[in-house]
Amino acid sequence: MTSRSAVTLVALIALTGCAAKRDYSGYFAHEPRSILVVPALNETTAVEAEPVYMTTISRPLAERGFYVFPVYLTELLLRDLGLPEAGLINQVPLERFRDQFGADAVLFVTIKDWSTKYVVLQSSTVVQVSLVLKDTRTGTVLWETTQSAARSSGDGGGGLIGMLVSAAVTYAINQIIDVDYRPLAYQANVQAFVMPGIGLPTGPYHPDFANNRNLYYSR
Amino acid sequence: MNGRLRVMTVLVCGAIAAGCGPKPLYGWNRYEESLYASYVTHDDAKAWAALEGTITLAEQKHTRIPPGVCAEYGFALYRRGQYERAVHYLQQEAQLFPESKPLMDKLIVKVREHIAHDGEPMASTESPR
Repeated sequence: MTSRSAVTLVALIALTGCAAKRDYSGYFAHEPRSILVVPALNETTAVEAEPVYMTTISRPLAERGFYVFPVYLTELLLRDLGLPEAGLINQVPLERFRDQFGADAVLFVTIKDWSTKYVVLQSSTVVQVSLVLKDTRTGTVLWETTQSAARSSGDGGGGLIGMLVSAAVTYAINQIIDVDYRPLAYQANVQAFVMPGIGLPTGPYHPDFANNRNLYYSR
Repeated sequence: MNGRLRVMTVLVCGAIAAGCGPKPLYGWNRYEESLYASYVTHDDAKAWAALEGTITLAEQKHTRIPPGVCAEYGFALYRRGQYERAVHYLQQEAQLFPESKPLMDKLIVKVREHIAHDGEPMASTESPR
């Protein structure tokens, strides 16, 4: 975590605290218990973004209290149904996910940014995703958000020499091993779900579930 | 970066990472490692071992098994030809999470068709992948 992303995060939390409340009436009209996460649509040129992203979504969503269908098994079953990738999956009528999986809602993820940029002495890595949750009975959009998480190098070591060394080391390491995007993808997901006023209300396995309407709706 | 900001950062990140709850609902153990092996490194043997480990560790530590784990493991056993054990874990998923029952019932029917056709293969003839 760098100072820049920390400041952004704190600013974002402060900002959302006083922003207009999101309208959750659609959500509570079709409050889901179970969510099927389908393979993400990758709008970036990073081919590894989709498979890596798919390893980071189950935990934050299940910790929000929902039944999350097994993501990898879902992908295998969708392939069996002739739906190997997101482009095709996003065309499928929503009721079909209810028929085939028994899911209350489907989470569609679009990966908007998945990149590392090198600027002079610093590298900066960004993950941006947009999430759309749709009801499988009506096709209604229940909830949506776009979130990004960033991390930059050159934060670590006091003074210009420290920056030089740190940037050089980071650069060298990035050349040898791939940058691990998982912590940023995970952070973007968690931000999306827990952000006050705009987050995803909790699911039935969460202790706050009974209090959802007070927290998100009737205020 | 000054010390106070750093402490605050850690606190904010900690609260967000923890989902603002006091403790996690589930024992995640090696589930994400398993997903990484399936999605990224395409190492089925490692993925399956990590699923098994996730279930064993959750039972040892008396934490709840996360949603999807028993289903993924049951399906992995099915792909390995261990049909009876596959049915056991698919049923366990449905017991832990009734939301999964319609899908688990469908998968169990599919597994039972294989039992009717091929019978249960001997454990010793299985390849690990």
